[in-house]
Amino acid sequence: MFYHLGEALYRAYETHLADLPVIGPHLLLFARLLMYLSTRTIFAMLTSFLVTMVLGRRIIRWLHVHHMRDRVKDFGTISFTDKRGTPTMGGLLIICATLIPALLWCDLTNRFVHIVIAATLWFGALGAIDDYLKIFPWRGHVRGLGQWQKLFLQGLFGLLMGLVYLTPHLSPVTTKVASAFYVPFYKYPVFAHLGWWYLPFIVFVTMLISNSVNLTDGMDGLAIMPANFAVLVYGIMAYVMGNIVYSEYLRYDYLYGAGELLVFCAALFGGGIGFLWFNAYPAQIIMGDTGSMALGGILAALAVMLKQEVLFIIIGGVFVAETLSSFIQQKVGENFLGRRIFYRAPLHHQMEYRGLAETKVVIRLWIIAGLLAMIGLASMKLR
Amino acid sequence: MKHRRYVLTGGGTGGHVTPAIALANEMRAREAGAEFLYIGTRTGKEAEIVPKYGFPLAFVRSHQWTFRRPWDVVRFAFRISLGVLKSMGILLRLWPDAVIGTGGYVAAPVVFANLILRTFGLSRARTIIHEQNMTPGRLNAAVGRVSDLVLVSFASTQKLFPRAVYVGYPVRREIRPQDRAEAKRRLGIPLDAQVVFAFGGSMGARTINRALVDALPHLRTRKNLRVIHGTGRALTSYDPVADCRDRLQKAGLSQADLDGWYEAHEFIDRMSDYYAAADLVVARGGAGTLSELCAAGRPSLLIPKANLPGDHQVLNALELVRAGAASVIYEDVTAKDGGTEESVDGALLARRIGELLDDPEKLADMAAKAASLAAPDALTTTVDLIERLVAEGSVNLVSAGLGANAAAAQASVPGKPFEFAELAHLAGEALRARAEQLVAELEKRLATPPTSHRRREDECIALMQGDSAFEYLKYRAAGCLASPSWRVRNAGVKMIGILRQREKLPILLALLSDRTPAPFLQRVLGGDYVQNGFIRRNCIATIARLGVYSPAVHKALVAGLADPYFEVRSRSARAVADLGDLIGTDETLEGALLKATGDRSFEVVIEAVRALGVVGNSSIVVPRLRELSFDENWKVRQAVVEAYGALLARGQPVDTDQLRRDLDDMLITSTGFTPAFPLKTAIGRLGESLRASGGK
Repeated sequence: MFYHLGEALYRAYETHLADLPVIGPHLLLFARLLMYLSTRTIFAMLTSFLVTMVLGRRIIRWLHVHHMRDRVKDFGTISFTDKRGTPTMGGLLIICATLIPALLWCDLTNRFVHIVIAATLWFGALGAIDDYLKIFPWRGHVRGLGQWQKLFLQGLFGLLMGLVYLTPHLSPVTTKVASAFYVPFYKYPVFAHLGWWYLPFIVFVTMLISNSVNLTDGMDGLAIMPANFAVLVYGIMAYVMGNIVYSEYLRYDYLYGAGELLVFCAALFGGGIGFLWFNAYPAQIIMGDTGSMALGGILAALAVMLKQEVLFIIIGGVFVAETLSSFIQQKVGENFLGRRIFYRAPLHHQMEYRGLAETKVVIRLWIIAGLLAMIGLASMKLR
Repeated sequence: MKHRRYVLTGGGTGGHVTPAIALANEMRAREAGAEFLYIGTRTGKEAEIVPKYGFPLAFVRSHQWTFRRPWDVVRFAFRISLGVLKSMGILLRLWPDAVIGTGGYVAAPVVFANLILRTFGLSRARTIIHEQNMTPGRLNAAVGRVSDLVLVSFASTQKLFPRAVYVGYPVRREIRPQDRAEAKRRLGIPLDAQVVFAFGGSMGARTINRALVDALPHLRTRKNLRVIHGTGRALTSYDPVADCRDRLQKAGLSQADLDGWYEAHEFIDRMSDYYAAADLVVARGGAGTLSELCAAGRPSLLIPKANLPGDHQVLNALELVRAGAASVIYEDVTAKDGGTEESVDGALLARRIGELLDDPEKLADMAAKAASLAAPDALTTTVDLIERLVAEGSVNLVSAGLGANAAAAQASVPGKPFEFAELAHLAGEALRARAEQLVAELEKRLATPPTSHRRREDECIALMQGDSAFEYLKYRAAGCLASPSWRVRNAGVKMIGILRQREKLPILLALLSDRTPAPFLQRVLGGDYVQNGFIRRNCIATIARLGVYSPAVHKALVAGLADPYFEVRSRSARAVADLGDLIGTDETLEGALLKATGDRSFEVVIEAVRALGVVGNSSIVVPRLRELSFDENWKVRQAVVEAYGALLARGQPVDTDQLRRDLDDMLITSTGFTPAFPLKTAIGRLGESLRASGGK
């Protein structure tokens, strides 16, 4: 909003406000300030944090009053008796804290921004329905959406996003860029002209990433920080790729307008920090599927739009490790072989079982996520 | 009058063909010019039997509702569709008045075809279903609701269908209550002899044959006993006569030993005489046999065939048990050479026979109850109903059939009819969950003053002993153990523990020591044996739960402590701790536990340390505990502290000064903690006081 205001002000200044006596040049400065990416980024982050502070307590109370309370926190948790009763669906706070600054500070004509906001809303709604059904089951038996239903809806968004991304008129990038497949630490595309064959990959990646964040949300504060780090790295990459000078220097494809994503990512980061204010152990609110699906969806959208899907294995390494451990333990171990491979799954339960307290597990995983994010940033230069 | 045309269908096994033939014969006797057509498959029993009675036979394709491989689904769809189409052709050409199906996959295409044609108004034939068993088979359960008439053989089955009538099972005319003395004279049996008549159907039954022969040495000493054994004729797959002869030889019984009180017949000609002469009948649980027993009014000891589809023989038999007309022995199912083998212990059979024969009053009561279940007019009533339906188009069910009789029969039988049917439909983990629920309910009924654990266990077992529901669950648990699916076996192992089946211990030990390797793909991914990690772990858990200790258990635990899978090792160590007071001191176990404290898995170390505290000698244990008290993992250190406590509690000599110094030196920083929330604690305390004061 402010971007458009700034834009309008700038144009108005150019046409007839240039002659205003004192405030003339200041107006220009002010207008251009509102249009700069860097200022909008900072303001977005601050705004989102402010929003969480203002809305936080109210949302918690509202959710508690409407019985949005967590029934069973995490089936494998060792000390699960302490978790029940915490209000869930805290993802609403994150989504509000992201969308309000996004609407205020982003350039709303930008296609990248459209896609990522669509991702937020779609996955947020999906997660909200899932959370709601977990607490108020529809037909009595099934708690929450079924596994296949969730996968289907996630894949559906992936499909739509892929269609938009690969269609020349709708896409924010050129087809040449859209159909290339990149790998971190390597300058040139591994596959150059995939065309529509890229679509199944996009669908697959969307399902994978959104589910991985969902799995990781099992302890207070566990999912939000690694997601924050990943979002930040993607934001920086978006800025680089959207800047003609930097993208050429670092040998990335120039994606016109990608820099706007940095504003969105900053808003999300600020919202995440604000959420962490309440979510730190012992949590006053948990993000639930609303938050974890939304974060996953946003990360998936960012990964696909910036052509950095494989990089998620590094910067989203915590999520990947959790998903992998859960997959191996359940599908290979318990279902197929009839034995446990690890002591427990996912990864945070394994660490807890080995004797680490919840707080320690969460902080250690933050440390790992931070290190992986830095490696991810390093991959921008080491190509 | 126009001649009626009837289509009969049903088969696969003889049990479906016999009633169809009986009905057809009766209808042919009544109506001179009626036309009949039997539709069946080329490979089913009906292909042999039907032509013998002079009915025209047409063939269609069909397929069972069992899928061993995914390809079978395609075959099933293909065959059934072809069968339905051909049946439709036959029905359209023949234009019958009624289609009478007796069940089984053979009847499926014809019944479906008629139902489809009816919905489009292309057939005027009524669909009549005849169900012989207590719980309907798959086909009948599926089509029963949309059929015009369902004729059931057991009164309780009526409730399942909207248009069902209890008619009973058509039994041969000659089977009916007869003069016992007269029958004995005809068969040349002394009048004061107690007669046990055992048979397994015209094809013989291996389990009954073998069990009876095994029981003979135990029955030898009885006075005035006469055993008549219908072994059945030799088949390509099974020769009952040779089987029995071999078994008798192995048991060391010569012809001389058996002379005068045991006779074996390959084929029983005059069943009615033998029924009448018998004081006790030992037989299978097939619908036909049970109906004959009721028609003849004889008490029975039933050995139903185990694990049939829908478990129908067991459920039929249980219906008679519920009415007090029979007693039941379940087949014991064991895994053998890749397949399953059913057996009944000869000694058990002998004991049950003896118990029953020693109580002539009870036998008389059972006989009376059996007679009350008889439906002598089954055949005539059925045919009446069919004819009325065909003539009038609909039948008033209230006044139909044995309506009044049914109500009386229903009222006289105690207990809920379908509790077993509900259990019969569960399998695997679902069954285990239900068993756990039922046992939990039973445990609530135990004496409330907390007695010792052992006494509670014994009480629990005693309470389950007489209850037919738990006997049924025990039979199912045994069957689960022999399943090819590991999940079902796993559930079975858990159920053995839940149901406290101590007699199944040998099977658990066998599963534990079974070292058959798993398929290649599983081994590549980390699997080890066919009896996979979960099964072995649960075997140990069940052994600990059963609370029995023997040299075999000792051997199993020692082997368990060296098992390749970490959970088995840790569970074995925990089992040693659980069985602690039964074990006492044992050097081998101590050595194995000591070795386990060096295990690479910390879970095993912890359990081993705890177990050493419970069974170990402090002179050997304490040095190791001192080493372990510097372990990195705080859980191990905690176990060490607890082990010290256990040693002291047992009165083992421990140098307390040294212990105090060691505790001072111990690293008490731990990375784990249990949170205590003052608010939640306060709420809990208030809640407790509210509950204690009798409020909600």
